[in-house]
Amino acid sequence: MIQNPLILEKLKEKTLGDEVMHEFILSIMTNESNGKQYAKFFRSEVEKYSKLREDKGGEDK
Amino acid sequence: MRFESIDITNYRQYQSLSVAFPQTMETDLHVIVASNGIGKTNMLNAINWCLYGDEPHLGDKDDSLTICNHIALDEARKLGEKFATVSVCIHISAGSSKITFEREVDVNVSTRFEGHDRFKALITNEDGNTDILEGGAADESVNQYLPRKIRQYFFFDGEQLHNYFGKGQDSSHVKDSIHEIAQVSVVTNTRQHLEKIIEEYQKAIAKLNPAVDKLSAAIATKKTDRQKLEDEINALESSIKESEDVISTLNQQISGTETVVADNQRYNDNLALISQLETDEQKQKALLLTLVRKYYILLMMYDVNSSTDGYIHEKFEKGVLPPDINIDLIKSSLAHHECVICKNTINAAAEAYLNSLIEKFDVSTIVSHKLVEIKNDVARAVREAKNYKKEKQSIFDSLREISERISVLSSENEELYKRISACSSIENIGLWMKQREENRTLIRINSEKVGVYKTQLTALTQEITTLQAQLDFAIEDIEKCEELKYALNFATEAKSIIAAIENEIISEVRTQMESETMTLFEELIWKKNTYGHIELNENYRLRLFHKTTNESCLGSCSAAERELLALAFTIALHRVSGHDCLLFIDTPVGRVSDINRENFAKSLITVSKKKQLILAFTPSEYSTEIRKYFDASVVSSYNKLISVDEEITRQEV
Repeated sequence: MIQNPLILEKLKEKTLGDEVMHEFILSIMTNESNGKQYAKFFRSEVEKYSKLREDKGGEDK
Repeated sequence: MRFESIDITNYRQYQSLSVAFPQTMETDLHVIVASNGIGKTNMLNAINWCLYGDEPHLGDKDDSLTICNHIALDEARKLGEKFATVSVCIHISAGSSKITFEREVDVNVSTRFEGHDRFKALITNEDGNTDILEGGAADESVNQYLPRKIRQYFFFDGEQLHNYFGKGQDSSHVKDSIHEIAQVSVVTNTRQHLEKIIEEYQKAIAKLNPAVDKLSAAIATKKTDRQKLEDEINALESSIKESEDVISTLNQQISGTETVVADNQRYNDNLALISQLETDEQKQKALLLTLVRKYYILLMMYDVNSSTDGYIHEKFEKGVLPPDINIDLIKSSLAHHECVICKNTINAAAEAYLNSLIEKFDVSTIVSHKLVEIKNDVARAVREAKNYKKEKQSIFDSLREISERISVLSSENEELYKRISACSSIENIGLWMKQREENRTLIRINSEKVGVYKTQLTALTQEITTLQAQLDFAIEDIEKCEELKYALNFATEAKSIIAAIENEIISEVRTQMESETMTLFEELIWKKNTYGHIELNENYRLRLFHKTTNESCLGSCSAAERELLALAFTIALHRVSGHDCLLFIDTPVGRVSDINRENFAKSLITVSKKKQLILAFTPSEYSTEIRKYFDASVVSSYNKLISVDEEITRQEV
């Protein structure tokens, strides 16, 4: 879990208007903070969220 | 996250102890008061043993009693049991979860040999379901709430706080711990792991286009080189900062003592000169003695010689003393009427003259001869005796001059000694000045290197940018890997955002730590308007600046001031990081005098409104000044942990 409010504030500020990116980074950071294995999780999250954004981009268009 | 209660069984002094830490809406402040040796520090050890399996606050593990309470061991033996069990349970709440950490060990009642301990974590979620974790999984669970490597920031011994910023302390360890607590390391690890995923995507794409592979490899090499350069620059800049800190500390130590080194040199030169003059003085005194010996006879005989010389001189003046004439020869010549020397005939006139000569010399010829003989010696003796005064005066003049110079130098040395002895560390000053010069040289050399490396870094970054552009172009060419490209771009974009967060967070955590620590320190410290601001370097080496002189002055702070500064730093760390856990402090104000504890009490009450605080005091430390403020805010107070003849330990609330 990300407890440091500064990190959460920065993340919000840097991903303003990009909800997918915000969710993706928060997800992999939370995984990291819980000390869990990263490789498999990161790959699946990249694929999941990149696809989600691609789909969302398509919808937007 | 907070401690709800602790149950201790058969652990060292504690045969059976349960301590609860209930929470109110207002504060979360808990106090344990116990005399030295009753077990305050062992409560800290019990917590550490339960959570991490060690006892860091034990004096010497190899030379300590068995972990099991000895009464419990005796009772078990009497009951015919082979083992007595030691157990510590910590019940915590974290959000909606309740967690119990429990460690047990069996101790053989005969051999007192400790078996392997057993550790488990019971996690009950909001639905009431309980998971039981054991071994490594239980350790992982502890690390999630109270990470082992940063435990010194929530369980600590106040008596060691004054050493917190000591010279020997490795501040880079402080930086790592702070990054851990503030979760900067989480951001860093996320970025690094994402970079590895990005490399995997690049490799996958490279398989479809060899040019991409080559470019990726070239970029990776350049990035490694750049990382090395950045590491070098960081190390050099860190070294420069450390040298600046050393110079600043040395300046404080040397301040006002620069002249002492010169004074000390002058003092030693004077001592050498005085020693030389004393040798000269001895030589002159020896000369005087030789002179006296030399002139002793002459001086004793001076009156006799002087009157004899006067007498002879007078007789000569009167012509009473004849010239050196042999009367016998005259008489012989008269008898032969012929000169016995030239054989000329003596006529009547000559005969008359010779007879008149014989008559004229009316004194004894022998006396006359003797007087003539000693005349020159007597005159020389009188003359030499007169030189004595002159020679003696010359020696006396030298002795007086030497004595005066010794006196002047001794007076000067008395003054110099006063100044030198006022400085307690004269022997170190020379060394400090040498060290200061060495550090100045080091800064100059390192600064030159940093300049060169930064130029190389700029060039390298430019090369990487160029290669990256070529790589992007090459990837663009591959039509087959659209999906991979999209994932790669997405991950690369995320990595850039995370890297930006990381950079900003590192800088802001440090800035906030500086300002929070200063604010808290000003609340805690009894001296107002003395300290101006705090600076933390990249490795979190702390410097405290004097308000008036704006000079770094941590080295001049008392142990009590350093203790309060460390406490301020720790609380600031909890605030800035948002790390949700308790603070357990053993002997929090041991070095702070009674009158100055009021600020401490007021500040900690404020802290306890947002964080659980458990403070273990000695009775004298828990003074009126603290009680005055704490009594209204303390939620639970264990004021007597009594050890009766070391037989049993109970709590009184």
